[in-house]
Amino acid sequence: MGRLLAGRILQGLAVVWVVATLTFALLHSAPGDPFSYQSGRRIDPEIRAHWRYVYCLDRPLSAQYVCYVRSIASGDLGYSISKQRPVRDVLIDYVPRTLELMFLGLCASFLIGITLGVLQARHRGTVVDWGSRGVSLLFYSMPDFWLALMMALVFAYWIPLFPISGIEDVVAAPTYGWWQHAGDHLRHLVLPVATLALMTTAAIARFQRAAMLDAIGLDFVVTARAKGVSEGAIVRHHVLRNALLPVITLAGVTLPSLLGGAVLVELIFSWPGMGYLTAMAVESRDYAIVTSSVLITSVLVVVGTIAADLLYALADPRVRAQ
Amino acid sequence: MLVLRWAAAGTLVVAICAALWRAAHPPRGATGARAALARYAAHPSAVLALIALVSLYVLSALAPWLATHDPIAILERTLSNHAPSRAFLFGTDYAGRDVFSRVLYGARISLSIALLATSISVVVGTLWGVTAGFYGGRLDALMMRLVDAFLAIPRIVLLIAVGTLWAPLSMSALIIVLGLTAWFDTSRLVRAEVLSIKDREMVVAARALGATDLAIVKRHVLPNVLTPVIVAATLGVAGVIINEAALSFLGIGVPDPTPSLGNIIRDGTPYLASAWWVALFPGITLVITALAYNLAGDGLRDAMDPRQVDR
Repeated sequence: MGRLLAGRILQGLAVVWVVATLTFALLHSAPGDPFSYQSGRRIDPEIRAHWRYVYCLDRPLSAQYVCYVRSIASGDLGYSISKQRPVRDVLIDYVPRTLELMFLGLCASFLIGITLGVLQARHRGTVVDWGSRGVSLLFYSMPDFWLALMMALVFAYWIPLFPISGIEDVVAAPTYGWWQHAGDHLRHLVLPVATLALMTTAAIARFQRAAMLDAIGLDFVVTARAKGVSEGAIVRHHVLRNALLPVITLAGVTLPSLLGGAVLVELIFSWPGMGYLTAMAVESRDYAIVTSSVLITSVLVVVGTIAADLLYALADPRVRAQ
Repeated sequence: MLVLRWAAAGTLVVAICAALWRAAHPPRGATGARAALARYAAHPSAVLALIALVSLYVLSALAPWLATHDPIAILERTLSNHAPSRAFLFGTDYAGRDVFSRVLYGARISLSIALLATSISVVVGTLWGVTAGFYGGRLDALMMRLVDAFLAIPRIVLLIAVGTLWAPLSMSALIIVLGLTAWFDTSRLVRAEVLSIKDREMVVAARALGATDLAIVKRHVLPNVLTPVIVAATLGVAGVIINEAALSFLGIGVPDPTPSLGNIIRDGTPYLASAWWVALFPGITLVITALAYNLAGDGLRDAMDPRQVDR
């Protein structure tokens, strides 16, 4: 167990290092440097020279690389020219809001996906099966930003059920008690979380359905059926228990698409998280933010994958014993 | 006149579909491609997907001939954000441009970009996977760890970074960037397939006969990896189309005023509440395209690899 974990962490560090090298190459090959322009205006040469000195841009390439990796390792991600603050401080404000969306989106999409997968496997070949597969594939084929726009159109403009932007009601919030704050926050969460869940749930349902069908063919299921165990009990006690495990590993695969989806979904719902930050940095040409978000999202993916592997190892006695 | 043109385009779609349908019903005992086509035609959803794709490609290829208006020319100001009507089937956008014509032209751009980018990703992914799988050892480990790292970055985040740092991307740069960020899964599939092939008797025999590596790859490896590559490419087109739309939506993809499906949605976003049609119709076109490619990919997988039938 400990060796498994250590090995995975080493692999993860190697991945992050490769990504850091990639962002360095990206930054270096881009025309101009991060400090040539700010909101379209040329930055004062003296200030620019200072920044270039601080971030080692006035040194040879190899020294720049060493400097870059060292500063990332110490947690310094550069200086955001659009926010006028170090990127690390900006991220400390924005990342938790994205993590909140990610966690709720992941939970919702697994809950819906697993339920759908079980239903589809039980009613295999019926209207329930192909109908729900069709609908989930339809959502899977939707561009995330368009789905978000349509959710806003239908559930905020046409049927004004939910607010469309931000994390709380800016006007009324100061007068709220804490429970009203919580309720208001939840209402703001519904549309972005629903969008993220809808677009990732198809892959999970499909995987769960296949895992169920694999387990249904196993010997102990045939035995249980021969002993006269009811179909519902077979699904609950024998099939589902075996089919739930492999789905855990899917969390690691779902994270990149969820984090990627968050960029445009957060932009559309003005959810001030890392995705929103990244999308806004496109307009302001804030190099430091954009490359940091490549780095941070890949770190989150690596951590998520390791967590999923660990969870799988804990849940499956066969892996735990190794 | 326009009605006649549309009728002609419709006839062309029907003719192509009918030809495919006849090809999909071969005489008994047919093998190879015809048999695969017949297995494909046994899936109703895959057949529908193919019909949708044929229509999309025919209609968008004939866009200059079928469009009701100029897609770029700004009509009168009074016609901005005009609701769908007989003159403007999908309404007009904020600049008074006809959304229907823009969607036709936009689909043409988006579909072309996606096809070209996918070709790049297929070539790069296959070469990468074959090299890693065939030579194995340290090279394999190194190449696959690189793929792991690329896969850990959400693709759209990477695309945004490239698009921002190198803005504005020209059309060809956009295609290359989309292609170079779409091959990671393909290379994994190809490598797995190569690993399962390279120790088989036929390859050992070829090597004993003195065949060079290149000859073995061409004669034995590539034909065997063709199936997973075609399936992955079909599913990949859907992803590339969506990513291109996302970039154009952010304003770092296809440059204005050239319409692409993502661009048109971008134009409609600020007026979503009052002029929903601008964002709705290009989005529906995107969904139909992506869905059709996903369904066609599933159908192809079942048709080309009878061992791996989806239950």
